[in-house]
Amino acid sequence: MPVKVFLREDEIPREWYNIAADMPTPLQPPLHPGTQQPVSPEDLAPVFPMNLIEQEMSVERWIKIPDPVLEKLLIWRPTPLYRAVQLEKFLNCPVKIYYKNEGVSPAGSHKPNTAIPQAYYNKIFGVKRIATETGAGQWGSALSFACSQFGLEAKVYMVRVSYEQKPYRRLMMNTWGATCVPSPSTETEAGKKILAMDPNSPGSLGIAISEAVEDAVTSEAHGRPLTRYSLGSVLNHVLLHQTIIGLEAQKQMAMAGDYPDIVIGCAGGGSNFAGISFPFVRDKIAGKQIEIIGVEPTSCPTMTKGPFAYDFGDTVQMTPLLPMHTLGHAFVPAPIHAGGLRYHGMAPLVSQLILDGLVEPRAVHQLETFHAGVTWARTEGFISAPETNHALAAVIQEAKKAKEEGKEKVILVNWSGHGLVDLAAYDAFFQGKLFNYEMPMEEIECSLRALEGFPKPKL
Amino acid sequence: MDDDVDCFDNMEIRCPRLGGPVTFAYCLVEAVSLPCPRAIMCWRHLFDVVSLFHRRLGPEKYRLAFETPPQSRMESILELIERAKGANPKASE
Repeated sequence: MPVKVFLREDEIPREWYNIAADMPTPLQPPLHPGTQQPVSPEDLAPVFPMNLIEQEMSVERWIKIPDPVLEKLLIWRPTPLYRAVQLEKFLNCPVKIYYKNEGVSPAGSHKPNTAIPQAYYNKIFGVKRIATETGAGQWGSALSFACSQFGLEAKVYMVRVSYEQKPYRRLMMNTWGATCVPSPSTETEAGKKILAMDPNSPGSLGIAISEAVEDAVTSEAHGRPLTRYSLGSVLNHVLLHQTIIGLEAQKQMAMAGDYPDIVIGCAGGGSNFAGISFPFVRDKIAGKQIEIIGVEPTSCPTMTKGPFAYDFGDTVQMTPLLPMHTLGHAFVPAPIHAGGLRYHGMAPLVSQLILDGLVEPRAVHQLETFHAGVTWARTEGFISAPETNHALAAVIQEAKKAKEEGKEKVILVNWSGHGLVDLAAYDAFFQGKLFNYEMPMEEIECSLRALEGFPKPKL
Repeated sequence: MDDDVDCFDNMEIRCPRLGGPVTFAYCLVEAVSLPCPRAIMCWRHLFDVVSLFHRRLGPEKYRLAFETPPQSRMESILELIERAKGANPKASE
């Protein structure tokens, strides 16, 4: 039984898979907020090169990967498919667990899969410089690497609170030649406006995006080299580029003589989930029996303490007051029915697949994800990015479920990145800082003041 | 009410959007003058954040923060393009 399944370099996929061609419910084109008309390529031209805009709007099923892009992807691709033999032994469940190791890229995650083609398409369009935003720095570092490969300047607006917390990602960007500034900055009108209101603003992704877009739109007017904007998740062309993960995995699973019953990926902005799953969603649309699970963070308590009290059952307080353990172990979080909250920030393609019943969204508590990550590290050895741990938690859930049901299952998961520059998060987990299960009484009392005046349920 | 807020300001949580630790005080202003749209989902198990937001924000701001369907990323980008054009020195020439 091989632990690793490799593809030869000449077996790397030559085309990306565009799921827009096969969507049971085609995506409606986004509307321009100003005109309320469907977005045109010209609307996007100030920030994206036209070749990427064409991909964004394309419904062609297969899109050729240009040779110069393949040449760069070959630096680390095809990535190995692993059999998680040690985890399987530890779990002792009737499952085979395969994982696609995307942590072998130079930036340590799946993000360069789209950073490389985006840098290439900008380059051949005549763009000299790319501006982007980054939160923790995973995307910023991937784009910095890609720009260095194609001789482009990279300017990264990094959310200030992360900039101060995460020096290593920033140093990676610098090492690849990028300029990384904390956002809000004094380099854009958007940043200056925020700083005028609050000189100590910690920033946010929204502010950083505003700065990066403004940087691109105003670059020529300010005498900067021709600049465009780049995004590392959510958009159709980003998800398209990531499908190389699942396309490779399909070939490797065939070489291993297996086909997955379950495909799992973490689903923040949707790009790594789309990467592993879209080629398998295509199979599902064609009739294959396969579960496809996108995992996102949630905040369900499992063992806190607190009194039984009346509270609203929904976020908008439209339901009658419901008696519940608002902090207690029996607390069951009411569904948040504002769908936008749950799927806020998720890729439209992924959201539509959920609505069409092709993808199952699953929320996993952060603490459970870190338990899974530690289990993984102590069996498979690799230390996962915290986001990747969401997918690993679902893998363990599914393995245990298979044991309970007495069914043999083949699970494929996208191991989307390593966590070697996120060890502070593990430290917080080990120190019990991530979630305070044993909340001090004064904090509980503080929270319960919000319920004062509500009727008390009869016990 | 502000006493309520002070109790929680320094509590920390791992932000799923940023990928790092943030305080509740950060979540309160993540959208500049409004809380992060995810704040309820992230904090509701630790304290009654819904009631707190209702009282702190008032009905109009609460509606804007949590009951208004969020823009898609594409819509946000298009809006930012229009806004950035206003910041473009060439645009005013």
